[in-house]
This record gives sequence, structure tokens and C-alpha cells, in this order.
Amino acid sequence: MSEDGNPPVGKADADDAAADQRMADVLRDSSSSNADLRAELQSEGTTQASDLLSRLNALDFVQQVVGGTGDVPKRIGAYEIRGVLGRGGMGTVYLGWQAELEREVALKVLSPSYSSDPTMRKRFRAEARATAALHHQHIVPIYDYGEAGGVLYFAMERVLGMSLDKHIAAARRVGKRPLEPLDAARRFAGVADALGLAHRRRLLHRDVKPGNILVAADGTFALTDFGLAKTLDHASMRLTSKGGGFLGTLHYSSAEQALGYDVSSASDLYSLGVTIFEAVTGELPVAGKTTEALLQSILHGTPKRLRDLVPKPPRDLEAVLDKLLSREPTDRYQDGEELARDLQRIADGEPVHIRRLPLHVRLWRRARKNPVLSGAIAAAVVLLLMTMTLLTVWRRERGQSFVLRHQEHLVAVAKDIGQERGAAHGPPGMLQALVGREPATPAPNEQVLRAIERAQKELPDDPDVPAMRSAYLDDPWPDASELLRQGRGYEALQRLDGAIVEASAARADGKLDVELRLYRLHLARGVANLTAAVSRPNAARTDLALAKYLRPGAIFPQTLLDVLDVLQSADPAAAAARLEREMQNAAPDRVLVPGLLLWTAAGRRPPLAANLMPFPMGYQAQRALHGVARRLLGEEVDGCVVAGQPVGLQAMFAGACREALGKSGDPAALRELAERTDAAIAAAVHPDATLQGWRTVLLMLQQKEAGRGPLFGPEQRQLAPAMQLAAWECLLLLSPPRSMVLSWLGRFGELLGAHPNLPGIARVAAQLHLLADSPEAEEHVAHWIRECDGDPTAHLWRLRMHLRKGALAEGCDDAMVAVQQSVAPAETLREVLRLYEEAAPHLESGDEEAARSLLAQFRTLLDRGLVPDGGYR
Amino acid sequence: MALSPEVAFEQHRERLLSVIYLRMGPNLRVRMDPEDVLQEVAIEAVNSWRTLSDEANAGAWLVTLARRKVARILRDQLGVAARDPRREHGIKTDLPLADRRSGPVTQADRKDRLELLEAAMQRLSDDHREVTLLMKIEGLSAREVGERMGRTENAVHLLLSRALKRLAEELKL
Repeated sequence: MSEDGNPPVGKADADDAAADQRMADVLRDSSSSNADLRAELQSEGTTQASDLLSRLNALDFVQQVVGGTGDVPKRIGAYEIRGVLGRGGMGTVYLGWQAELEREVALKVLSPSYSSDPTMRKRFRAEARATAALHHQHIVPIYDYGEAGGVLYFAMERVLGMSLDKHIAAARRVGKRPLEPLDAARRFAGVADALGLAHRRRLLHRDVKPGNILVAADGTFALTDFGLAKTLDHASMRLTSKGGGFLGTLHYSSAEQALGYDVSSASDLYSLGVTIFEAVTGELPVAGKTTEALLQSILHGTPKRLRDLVPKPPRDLEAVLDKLLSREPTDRYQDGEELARDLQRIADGEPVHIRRLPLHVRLWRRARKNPVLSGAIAAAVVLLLMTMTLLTVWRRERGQSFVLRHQEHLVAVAKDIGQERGAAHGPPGMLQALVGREPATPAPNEQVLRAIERAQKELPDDPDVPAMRSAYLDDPWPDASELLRQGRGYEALQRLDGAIVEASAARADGKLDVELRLYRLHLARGVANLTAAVSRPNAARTDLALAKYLRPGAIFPQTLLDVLDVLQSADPAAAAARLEREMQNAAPDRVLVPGLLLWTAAGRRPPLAANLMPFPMGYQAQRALHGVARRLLGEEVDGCVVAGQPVGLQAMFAGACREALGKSGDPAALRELAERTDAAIAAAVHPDATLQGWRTVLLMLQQKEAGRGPLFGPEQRQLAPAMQLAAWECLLLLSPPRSMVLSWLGRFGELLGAHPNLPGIARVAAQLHLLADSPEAEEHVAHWIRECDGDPTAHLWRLRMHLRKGALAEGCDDAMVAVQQSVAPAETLREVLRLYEEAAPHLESGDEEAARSLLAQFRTLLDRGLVPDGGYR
Repeated sequence: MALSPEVAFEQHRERLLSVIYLRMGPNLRVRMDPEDVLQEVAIEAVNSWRTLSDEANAGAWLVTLARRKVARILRDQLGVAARDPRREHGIKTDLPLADRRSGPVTQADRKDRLELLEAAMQRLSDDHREVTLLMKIEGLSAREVGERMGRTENAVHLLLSRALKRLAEELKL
């Protein structure tokens, strides 16, 4: 700017040079602590100081990346800091020097961000005391506990050596097994004994893993990080609440720990089992490439056995590990000392007497396979399971602080709500979303309401009370519930996903009502997953199980699970009969829900009338389910007619397409419809075949000519055979005119020719050919009749065909079978009557007589009430 | 337990990975996973462990192995530079969610920081980049760095001091 612009620039240069030199001096003098320098610079407050500070920050950044030391204090309390031994999520372990005793110590320092939390501080000390009381050769002893400059620390014995996980990683890296089996047995005997001592002192480690076992220079093992497990939970909680990442070492947790249920000494021993297994084989007994896969194998998989990975392993050691890795805590060792004795015996070559489970129990457990969840669902599961784990932790914390505040009251209320078993229907609207029928609104439990009122009187200022009341009475997500009621399950699902994440985050604020809200959200999402638009029964199971976990006594989730068991069973009829027996003495309110659900699942007109997803099963199974449903419903069956307009996504598309069919010449209307469908498909979390089917139908309607080859979806994507069939099924629902069916029949023929055994294709083939009135119709209908398992619909269609040909006698046979097989014989008979009446004017004169007398007979049967109505009116 | 190559390797793992990662640069990383290179370094370390004269120098020795390894790979890959880069697909470098040693939060965080650091170092001058790499990542002494770069020890410290200033600016610290 100025002519002689040198002075300011020159000054800046000089400043820079001075700062450069000062920093260079700092870099040279490696003995001084950066912490002290920082404090000094901060108090200086000059430009140069802030320049130097930012350079120090850059240096720290680089050193953190490299895993170096970063900012190390010079001294903590009575200890001179000589280096860093390790860094963890919650703090750092320094190498300390205690001058008075002239010894090295490992100084575990709680990260300052956690030190400011009073609860954490209290627990930190409590755990330090407990651990200090554990004198054991295989536990790293704690020398000292203290606080210096706001930093909490433990001083522990300095073990020269590395943690076991590094040894394992090192061996794995070169393709060796870390430890010989007998050697491992000997060394781990000490650790097992140490755990036994801790358990006798009522202290759970809760984070047993190779990283927490130090290997001393002489090769002995020592357990460390004792009692910090709780603190670690807390630390993970913070880490997870931010981004939803996963907390550390799931590999070593037992099923009950991963699920957040109560852990016991058996859980610690399970973790030790995994550790031993890994130390011997270099691999984990349960593995998964991703967290969700891992969770699945922990919860449902069969752990590997030693013999899978080690040639000729000691059989006793294998038996010990099998026992340790049992999924059921009660099947494991209960006592570390017992395990230690067995391990020592193995090391000494003495026989071990392990009570093995009976063979059939083992086989059954091994054979027990669980539904495999796919990617997105599993991810959700992980999130949920984490939420549960965190909830347990939170609840424990919360409970304690409340007792400290002498507000047992609130806890009692929460307990009341927790124990209240909930209405059999669940929250309003949930059942309606599935069966299309609104049950009586369940009344809130008087006892719970009174408890809340009492709490409100005694703690008028506590914001938790109204929050709990609202969580108990109000719908946590009315928008989603409304969508559910409208059958827009997939949209509800998306909102619920968000709400569940939000509720999980709210847990961090320590609100008492969160648990209740989460219960209802999971329940709602479980229901959403069962709707036809979503159709993910396994995801529904997970949600319902979580809801059940959040409120152990709740009826509705359990009932839904029971019904799912029936519907997904290989033999639904037998399963339904079992359910019926179990329900024999249940209250009417409790029986209504399974009755309605079975009724809907087996109903003749899902999915148009109700939102429950379809469960494919043979007609006879459907019929058996109907029988059970009818008996369960009893008097209520009268109310089971699904009244009014059909609900659900299907209904919407059917309506729209029908409309489009009416004005098939109007391309603008079709385009608008197609856009709507596309939007729906895009919004769907998991677009089902039917949804795609409607989209394809719209494309078909837009085309002037039928064309050839397989059906295409949007953007000329060729559709899978099942998807193509879904499209044809959707087209059938529209009752298309004959001309249209005729033009498209060739194209369907190609699908039929290529995939004659596609489930359900016989029905579609028969109906299309009948609608087209083609010469092959008879053949296709005959095929359908053979496949249909007695379905009256098939017989009614054949009746229609016979009547068209004037074959009254054959038609009569079909009419009889249809009425016999129908679950609602009266209604079927009325349908038969209608078909005959329609056909009557076209009959030959001789036939007319016969038809008239047949009709008269049918009417008499109906009028005298001789044909049961099966509940449909 | 005497220091074994496996143990020494494990102790210096983080540093070695940083060296490999930064030396490889983004273009080479598309073709090869730094973890694989690390694996090869580990094997080489086991095979030539005898040649290490002083166990106290194990870290520096391993870093040298790693640096040579990357240099060799770079040279080999340059030989096939004619290959159409559009046909190359990035290998999956996402760290698996379930890692046994530390939580993935920590892991991801570390990877983020490595990436940040690399991006920042790419924008430094050659001298600044080299001095930071050699001194603070590979862990050489000022004297050794001075020998390699043809400078005095004091000049090396001054250079590093300036490099840190630039790095702080790039990292917006």
C-alpha cells in the first residue's frame, strides 16, 4: 500500500524469525514439558505466544497420529512422569517414578473430561478401594490413589512386558499360534483364580480381554483394569451417544452382556473363555466381519471349537472351553477357582471331570438356528442393542443417584409403570394398523395413574413427574401412528427410526421417561415392520423382543411374537392349535388380539382389507387358522367384518390404477400416477414385490402395445420372475377388460413357459386365461385346482367357466366343494347364487329349468340358516 | 521374554503404519492397502531380525524397512504407469467396525487424523514435508536428519519450527 511499505513487513518478518527460533529451541530441548510451556504461553497472551501455541498443537497432532507421547505432564502428585505406556479411550497410562521408594509405577490417569463429573469421581475412588483390597499374585496391584491438579490417578505396579493382545497380534501376523494349549492352561489358571477371588469379593471385572491381561517378563499373566469396567461403560456411553459408533470389545462379551442383561461371574468367565481360545488358536470363537454380524454370531451362532483350528487339541481343554463358551450362563463354570483347578489339572496332565450337558441338549442347541438378518435390519438391531446396553447402564446410574437424592418416590413410580403389564391391545391404533379394526381404547392403569399423582403432589417441582405421565399416556410419535393406521407402514418406519435414534440420544440427559417412550417406539416399529408395505417379520421380531425387554410384563409385544411364531411355523395348523390350548384359560381381553391377528392372516382378502403382511401358506393351513381364530374370538367374531373402505398402500394403488384404467387414454394422468408410485417406492425402506408390481402395471398401462419378452421395471430394468408375477397379480386385482388381457396374454405366456413352477403362477395363469376367455383356460384352471389345496376361490372360478359353457352339472360339483371348503360357507353360497343368477338369462331353455330349481334349493338352505356364515356377513 | 521381532513390531505398529501411509500417498493407496504393506514389512522383519545389531534401535530399524518397502513398491508401480488409471478401483480402506484392539471410534478417528495430516503435508514445501516426516514421524534424530538433508542440527530445528507453523496453518490449529 504505502510507498515504503517495508517497515510493517520487516517487523512481521522479524517477529516470525524470533518465533521460529524460540520454537526451534523448544524442539531442541526435549527435556522440558510442553504442559509447562503451554501454561506459560497462555499467560503471555502475545501474538508470538499464540503462534507458538499453534505450532505446539501441530506437533501434538502429528505425535498423536504416530501414537507418540503428545502432551505429557512432568509430574503427577508424587510421581515424576517418564513416559507414556499406553492410551485408552478414557485416559492415559504413564510411566511414573516414585522417588521416595525408588520404584517405577504405572500411573493410570482419568482423562480430565471425565474427572469433572462428580459421579465418575466417586465411582473411580470406590473402584480403586475395592481393587486395592484384591491381593492376588495374578492381579496387578494398586499402590496408590490420588488427585493432583484436578487429575485423578491410580498408581499400579509397573509390569515389564506387553499386554496379551499384542502378543496375540504379533503371533497372528506371522501365522503362528500364540500359545501351546497346555502352556495356556497353566498360565490362565492363575487368571481364573484371580477372577474367582474378585467374584468372592462381589466385584465383577466386566471387561476381561487380552488387552487387560499383562504378560510379565517371566511370562506370567496378570489381570489389570479391575473395576474400571464400570467406568469404561460410562466412557463408551459418551462415545456412542455422539455418532452412534460402537463401543469397543464386543468380541469378548457374552450374549447376556451384549444384550445389556444383568451380568454375573459367569459372564466374566465367558470373556475369559474367549480370551483363552484366542490365545491358543489366534482366532476368536465367534467372529463377524462387521459389528452386526458379530452380534448375530454371539447371540445365535455356534462358537468354533478348538479342533476346528488346532490339530489334536487336548480334549479336556476343549471340553473346558466348550463349557465356558456356553450361551446359557448356567451352563458355564460359575466359579473362577473351579475353572482354575481344572486348568491346572490339564496343565499337569491329570484328568478333568466335567459335567457335560446331555447329548440331546447339546445337539438341540447346536441345531438351533435363528433367522438371519440382512444388512440394514442388522444395523438397526445393533443400534437397538446398544441402546439397550446403554439403557441398563443408565438405569443403574440413575437409580443410584436417585437414592442419593432421597427420591425413592420417583423410582417407585417408574417401577410401577414398568411393572404394569399394559393393555393386551397395546397403545391405541397399533392393532388397528394390522387388522383394520379399532379395538376399544385400553384404559390406563388406575394404580399407575394414582402413583403418578402421588408423586406429583410430593415432588411438585420435579420435571420428571410430568414427563413420566406424558410418556405413559401420550403417543410418543402421533405422526407415525397416523401413518400406521393408514397402512403407510414404510413411511411410519422411517419416522420411527429417527424417533428411536432421538430417544436413544435423550437417554444421555437422564430422563426417566425415555425407557417408556422407547418401549412404545419399538412396539410401533415392530408393528410397522409387520405391515404389508414393509413385510419384514424378522425385523419385527427384534423390535418386539426389545419392547418386551424394556417392559418385561407387557402383553402386546409378547402376543405379537406368539402369533408370529404360529404364522412362520412350518406347520401353522399345529402351531395354532398349540396357541389355542395355551389361551384356554386366558382373559377374554388377552385372547382377542391373537384371534384378530390369526383371523386377518388367514383371511380371504388380505392384503386389501388389512395391513398385516401376507404369510404364504397352503389353503388348508389358512382354513385351520381360521378355525382357531374363530374359536378364540367367540362372540367377538361378529365384529370382525372389515368395514368401510379398504385401507393400506395396496388399496391406494389399486384405486389409482383403476382410475387410470378408466381413462387409459389420458397420458398425463398416468404420468402423474407413475410419479406418485415412484415416490412411494423411493421412500420405501424395503419396497416389497407388490409395490414394484403396481409400478410395473402403471408402465404396462402406459404402453400402447404389449410387446414381447419379460416385463421391465422403470429405466428398462428387467424384473425378477417373482416381481413380474407380482405385477400380473396386481393387474388381476384391477379386473382388467378382456381386450387388455388378450393383448398381454402372450407376454405372460413367456413368463409361464420360463418359470412354470413359480409359486402362485398357476392361479394367475388360470385367472388371466379365464378373463381372456382363451381356449387354454380349461387346462390352466384344472392345473390351478390341482395346486390350490382346496381353495374355494379356485372352484368358484371354475364354476364361472362351467356356467359360461352352460355345463350346469359340472358347475354344481364345484359349487359344492367351494361351499364345503370355505371358511364362510354362507357367503360363498351367496356368491354361487349370484353367479348362477348372472348366468341364468344366457342358458338354454332346458338348462334354465334345472338352474331355477338349483337356485331355489340354495336359497332355502340360506334362508333356513343351514349354512354357517363363518363370521362373514 | 527377550525382544522378539513380533513384539518389537507390535510396539511400533502405529508409527510404521503412519510412515507407510504417508509415504505411499493417495495414488498408490488406491492400488494397495497400507495394512498389506505393513504385513509385508512384518514378514521381512522376522526374516532379517538377525541383522539387527542393537535391540534398542529396533524402532528405527523397522522404520527403515518400511521406508524401503514403500520405495520399492513405488518404483515397481511406476513401471506400470501406462495402465489406464480409470480402470483402477479403490480398495476398501474402511476400517471394519468391529476391531478387537480399540473401539472403531478411536480407529476411525485415527484414520481421519492421518488423512487430515496427509492432506496438510501435501501442501507443504518439500523441505518442510521431509523434515516433519523424518523427525516426527519416522523418529530420526536431528543429527541424522541433518546428515540426510545436508543441514546443521540447528538448521534442522529451525526448519522443523517453520514447518510446524505451516502445518498449523494448514490444519487450522
